Amino acid sequence: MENSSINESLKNERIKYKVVFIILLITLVCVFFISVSMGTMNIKIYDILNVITSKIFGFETDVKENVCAVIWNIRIPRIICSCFVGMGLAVAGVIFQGILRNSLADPYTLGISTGASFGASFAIILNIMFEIYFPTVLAALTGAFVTLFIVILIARKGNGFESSNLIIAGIIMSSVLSSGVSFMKMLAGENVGAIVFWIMGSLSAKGWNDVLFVMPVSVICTAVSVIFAEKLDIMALGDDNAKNLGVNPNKTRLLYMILGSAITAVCVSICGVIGFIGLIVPHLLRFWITARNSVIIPLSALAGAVLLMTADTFARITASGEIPVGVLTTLTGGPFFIFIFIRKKN
Amino acid sequence: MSAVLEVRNLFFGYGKEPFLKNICFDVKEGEMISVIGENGSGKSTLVKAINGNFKDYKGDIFYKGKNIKNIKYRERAKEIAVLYQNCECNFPFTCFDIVSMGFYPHKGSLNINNKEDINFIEHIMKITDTLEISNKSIECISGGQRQRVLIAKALAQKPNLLFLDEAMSGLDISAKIKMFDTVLNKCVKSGVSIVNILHDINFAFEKSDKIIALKNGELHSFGTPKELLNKEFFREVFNVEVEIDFYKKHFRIIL
Repeated sequence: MENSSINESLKNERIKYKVVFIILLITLVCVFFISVSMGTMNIKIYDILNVITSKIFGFETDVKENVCAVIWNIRIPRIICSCFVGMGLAVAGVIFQGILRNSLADPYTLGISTGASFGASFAIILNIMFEIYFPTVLAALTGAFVTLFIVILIARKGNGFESSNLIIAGIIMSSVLSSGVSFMKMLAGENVGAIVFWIMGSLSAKGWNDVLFVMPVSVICTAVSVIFAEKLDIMALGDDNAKNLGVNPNKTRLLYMILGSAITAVCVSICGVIGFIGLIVPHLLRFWITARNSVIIPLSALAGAVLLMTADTFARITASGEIPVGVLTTLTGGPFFIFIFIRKKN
Repeated sequence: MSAVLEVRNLFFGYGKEPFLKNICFDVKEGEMISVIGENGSGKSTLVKAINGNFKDYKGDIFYKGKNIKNIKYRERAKEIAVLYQNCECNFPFTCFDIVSMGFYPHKGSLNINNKEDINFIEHIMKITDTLEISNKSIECISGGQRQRVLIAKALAQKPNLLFLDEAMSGLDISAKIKMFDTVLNKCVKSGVSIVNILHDINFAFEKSDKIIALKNGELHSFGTPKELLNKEFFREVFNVEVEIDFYKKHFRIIL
């Protein structure tokens, strides 16, 4: 009987996924340690391990106090932050490409990032004008969710919020809000720098409280989206076919929209707009490995983390001050994407 | 034989005025029914009205005596499969991925496919001649191959009632004959009812038990090919003059 040929090839596929997963995991750990050791102060791997174990198990360390502070209070939280933001953005990219049935969608297609920027700019302006301290993170988060809510409302007016309606609603909201941001930049006058820097996307000065904010959201949303990944696969066939296979397209889309938006909103609110990770990672993995979301989501999570961690390390160690990591990812991601696109076409 | 699907006085349309008007027909167990009519006569709309989970149609649709409105998505998916005309997929899923999506309603929640399920999917791919392209991306195969993969997906759903919306139009003549004579015939013999939208009138009259002819959203006629095979019928439904040529037990409609 040749009956097991598919079973056989599926087994090989599964081994391939596991190998890729493990390679990415090892890379992640390596990049983490290299990243912690690099910077204006070079730190030995031994010291890093020493500090980490001593902090976790609570015993004394013989590493100098200032080195210890750099490792534990400055570098590690920032790097962990970049890890979970990268993970979140890549997973949100898979989710939005899936529900919008468009491999060119990214976490920002629905205007969530513009909403967050609007909220943050608004808070910055208020803080400058009235000399109060309203947290920009909170304002950004509110802006993101209000925008999402309006996008869903607009899309619902059409035919039961289909993907094309969502894209149109997202584009409309984005352009309206970005003029709003421009207007506020004008209002800010000579303080415009604060807004510009916020939007540019940077992970500098991220601490443990940011980690505690972004980590649970990234991890939980990723886990939930893996559980229902097969429904997301079926959504690729369109609403009629999804219904026919027993998947309620509107419910599934709403669930995934909430998951993707929660991740995006949190990431944008703490570190601004970091482009291209959410577009490029899912796109390449889908092209190289498989289109199945149950595989792509965990792999994207790891690859996104590796990519942003690497990018942020480069952003941090460049000699003359610091490049915002959002600028770096888009600056290098764009040409890379074009390169892949041309190779794919050939 | 009991009726699997009963459509009673169905009115349905996307705008204010209903486009489909007063449609009535029955599908019995193990019947092959062809739906014919001009472009825009309402064939695809009929299939969508029955399967689209719309709440705003008038009239009644019963599946095995139950009002179809009261059957849950998931339950319905185990019984009725539909192959729509436009099934676009923008992601590089392999043909195997696509066919196994058809099996989704029969999987337990959180369950990965076990060996028997995969053997079943493999069997379906074998009889539809799609096994050799099982590892290829759905984006990189020809239109006819794609159509066969989609038929395989519909069959993997183990339906009792199967709707095919121009599923045969991209197939070459040998694939078409094979699909009818081996695949669909076997289904019909095992009790599956098939409602098939077709443009090839010769195939429709030759292969089906009954024919539904639509004209401007209304049911023009519903009957066996024998009853409907006359020049009048073609003049009224399609506005064409035809000759009907009999050859042994077969016939040919000459345009």
